[in-house]
Amino acid sequence: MEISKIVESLKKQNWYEGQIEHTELLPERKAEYGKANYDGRINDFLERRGIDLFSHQSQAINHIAEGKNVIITTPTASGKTLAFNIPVFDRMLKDPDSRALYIYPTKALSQDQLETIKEMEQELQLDLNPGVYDGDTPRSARPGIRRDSRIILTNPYGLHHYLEWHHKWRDFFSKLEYVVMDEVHSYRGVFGSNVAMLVRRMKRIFGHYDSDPQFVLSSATIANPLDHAKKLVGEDFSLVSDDSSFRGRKSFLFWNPLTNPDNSPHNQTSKLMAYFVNSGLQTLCFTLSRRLAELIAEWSSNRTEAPVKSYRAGYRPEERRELERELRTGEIRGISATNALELGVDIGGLDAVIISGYPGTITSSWQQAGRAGRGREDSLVVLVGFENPLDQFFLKHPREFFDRDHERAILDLSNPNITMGHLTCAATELPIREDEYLGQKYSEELKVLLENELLQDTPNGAVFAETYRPSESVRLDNIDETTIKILHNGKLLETMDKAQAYREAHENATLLHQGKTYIVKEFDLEQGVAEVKWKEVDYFTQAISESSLEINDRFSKEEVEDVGVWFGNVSVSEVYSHYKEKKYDRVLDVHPLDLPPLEFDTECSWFRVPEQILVQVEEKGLGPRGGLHAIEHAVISLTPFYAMCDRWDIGGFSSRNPLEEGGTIFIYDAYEGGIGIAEEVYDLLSELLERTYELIVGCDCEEGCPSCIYSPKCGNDNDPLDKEAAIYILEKLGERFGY
Amino acid sequence: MGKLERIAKKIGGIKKASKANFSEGSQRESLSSPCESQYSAAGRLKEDLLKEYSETNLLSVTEFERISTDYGETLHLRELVEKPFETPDPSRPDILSDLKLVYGIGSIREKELKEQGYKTIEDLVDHQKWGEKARAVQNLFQDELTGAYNLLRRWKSLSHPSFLRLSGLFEKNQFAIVDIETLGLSNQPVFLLGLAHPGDSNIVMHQFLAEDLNQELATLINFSNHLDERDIILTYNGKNFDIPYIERRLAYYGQRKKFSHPHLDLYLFTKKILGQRTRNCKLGTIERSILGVERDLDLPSSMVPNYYTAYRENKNPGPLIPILAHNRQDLLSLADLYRELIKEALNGNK
Repeated sequence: MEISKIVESLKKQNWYEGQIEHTELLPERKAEYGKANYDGRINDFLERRGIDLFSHQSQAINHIAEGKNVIITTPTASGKTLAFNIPVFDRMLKDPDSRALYIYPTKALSQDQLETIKEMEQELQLDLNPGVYDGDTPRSARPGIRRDSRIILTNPYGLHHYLEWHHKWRDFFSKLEYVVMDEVHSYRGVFGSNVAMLVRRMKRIFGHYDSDPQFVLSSATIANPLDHAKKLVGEDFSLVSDDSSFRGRKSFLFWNPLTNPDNSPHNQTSKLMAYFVNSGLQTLCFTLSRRLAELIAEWSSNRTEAPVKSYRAGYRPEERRELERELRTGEIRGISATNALELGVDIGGLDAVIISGYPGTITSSWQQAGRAGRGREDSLVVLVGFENPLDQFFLKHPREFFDRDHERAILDLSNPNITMGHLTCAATELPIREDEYLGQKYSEELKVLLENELLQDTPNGAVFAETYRPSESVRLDNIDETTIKILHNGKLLETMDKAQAYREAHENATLLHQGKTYIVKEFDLEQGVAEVKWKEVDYFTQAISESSLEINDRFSKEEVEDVGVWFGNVSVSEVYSHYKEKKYDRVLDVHPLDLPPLEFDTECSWFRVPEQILVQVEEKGLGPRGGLHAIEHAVISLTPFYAMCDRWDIGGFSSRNPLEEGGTIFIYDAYEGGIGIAEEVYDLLSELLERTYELIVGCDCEEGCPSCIYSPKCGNDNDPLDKEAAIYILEKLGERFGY
Repeated sequence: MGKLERIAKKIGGIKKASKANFSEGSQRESLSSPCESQYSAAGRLKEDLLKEYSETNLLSVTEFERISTDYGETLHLRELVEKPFETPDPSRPDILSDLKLVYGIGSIREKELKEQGYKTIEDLVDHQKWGEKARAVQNLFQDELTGAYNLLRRWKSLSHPSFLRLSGLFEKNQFAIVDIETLGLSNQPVFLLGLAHPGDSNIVMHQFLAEDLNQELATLINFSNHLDERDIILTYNGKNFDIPYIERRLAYYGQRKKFSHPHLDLYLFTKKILGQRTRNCKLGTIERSILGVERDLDLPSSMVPNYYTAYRENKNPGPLIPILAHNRQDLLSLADLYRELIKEALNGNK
């Protein structure tokens, strides 16, 4: 059935109350093809498969063949993988000694891509022994992979630890011709800066073994691909960005569930899913949480013949492989997933995609939307906006969404909180010579490390002089490594991290796994194990938490007239105090929870808005808390441009203090121990407040929008926010800060 | 404190945390767990040594000599210790009675050949079909013991008694007992390498010491130069730890070297042969329960990095003294342990 007809009869459903706020028609685009040079055997392979190369693919292949570093940023399903696999395989055919290293941001992706590479290897009758080398690779298999595999697939977390064993990789590294890094848009902010330092450490070791591999990067669409690639790798790149693959017509609907208040947004999402599946469309729904992925699948399945499946992190690898295969073959007609399906897992194109809740970035939105569409067929995307100001803003202002630039990926190679740790790692890998560059000279940093006796100077260079392993203390990201195992009858059902376990695996929680409901019988935090029993119940649980912030230490303080500004150390904690039993959106019962708080210490800067300003705000009939909250969001949105980080690297907290002590806005690093962003905020606060004022006062919106005070990651659903109050407070602060 | 300074302190925080349980030793005496008391004893010992050796320097209180190499200066100590060293009787034909060492002979064929009177490989050298291959094996065991070792490696686990028998074919002075002391367990500097070459009634002990970390490479090179290509290495857990560690530290400095010597890792034999008779297979435990060695003042291995750091930071040889003694005793105990293992494995009632 045609998409347009399906949409028309959707409007005749009895639960349709005019939810479609906007329809954007993305026109069909004709494919353009191009020629590239490669071995005849590759030609045969392409012919057998009936593949004509699109011109962006051949452009990438030719660039790579010319020896250039290349970054490819065409959308999902445009054939990026083939575009870098062809030149790599071409080299493998011509030079039997050559090696290639593929780096993926997750283990799951390496496993997935291994299959693709193996297929191509077999068809080309090559003997490359491609292998995944990561934390799951058995110790006994490792020497064989290093010795025999001409293509090794791994991830940054692993490499961070393997580099100091480089002499075991001598053979592989010395023959290395290509480094392929996929999904490099995920390497941004603090995580990305850590990966960029890791790449410099890698290149240093490649140089030690006289190799100088070419880098091939692929990324989702971002605002600054060339600049990002150059910063990430430290070399010049050629960009391939014009998608020339065929695209069918795509209808992009904005769905506002608030027009039908009898049905919750999640309920409507399941109805949409069921309706599309029943209309013959293979449909993928992206949800914002693991639990919702399960619930949407369960609720939609009540309305479909074949069950709607779910997909998320935490499933066992073999489960995931099976779901991916069934998606490709079309056996699965509907699936609801977290963003685990957003990255390059090979599942083919689908007829329809539902984005249930704005995923936080434009880049993610288009990645998810890109899953809709197979070849020339028409396809459908529905963005279901939630009941929060940010989602509602986009629903009401579709141009703000469709014409909006993709986010920039920001990296910082001069934050000593990041670089100094990597210098200690580098010094463990090879002595650091005085004249040596790690992308840039870190003379000052090295000097301080030497003075503090973490390094020692020797005739061979600076040597790591301590008794611990730096790669164990330098973390690439802030993801808690504690893994909680969920056991069912003693067998591993799935795994999750600690924060997820607090939400989903506390005692008596309902745990949804592939459409089955389990009840958690016992949650043993110390052992990292939760025991579950299979029990079908008609409710689900939802843990409720409250966050708080406590000041531990004040490092510096400044006073600007009556405004105090501090930099110090704080504890940020999340307390899960009770949980609700719910049936759909109805709360059946509430029970207390007894769990220690989830807590981390970090660096923070904060400033106090004097009470008299807040009183004036109140007198004008505005909301002081909404004003403080709005300023917190806007400051956070601008911080990445000053502290070279990602918005997700920072957290904020604002409150009106008791006892008429004014109000405080906290900006803290989302990294245990701090990572230097809050310190930058402290140093630049005056300028940052001035820019914040300009941003909010200059924004054309009426009550706030994503460009000024709406945050895509607000824990309070952007409530309360008061734009006018924020402007008033900032004006008053300006009188004191002199802007 | 400057910003970089503060970050450096933060980065080094881990080291502070691990040090704390130690320097605060005296305040922790009330804690009664054996581990704590061991640490606090070690903490007091360090303080005592720092006092005792203040105002002295390493070269005046030890016999170390400063050596100049192409890679810079390093320290070397040579000592002759009166101590017998025994190897298995080389005349025993046990190894060569395993006809399966000849390529192509399996268990069934071996049984047939033995029934025909070919009891050892030496009996086979004139055999029409197997003679040539048997002679090759025989030659390995006569002239090319490394080759013989590698041949055994192909068929036998590293704790197989054949390796102990094979060691009997080496001259005593070809034995190289090795034990190293490092700042950590993965890729931190190695600062002391002990090497013992036994003789008929004496053992020549070498200790190669990095006076500071800038001498590490020179020290490693000096150690390697004292190891002959035809030596057989004897260690305790050296297959997994000492030898790869040395190779890795050399690679760290861009020096490619592989120690492919025959290697008897006594830890593997101990686990197999003596394992059931002791609480655990730590060398200290084996010394007390099997060898009857009682160290009057021994430094726990986990304290070694801390003591070396104290020596460096205070420029005081005191904390180094127990490390040197610890390393020396390890080498001597290995000689005793080797004798004990031979007795158990080769002369036992089995």
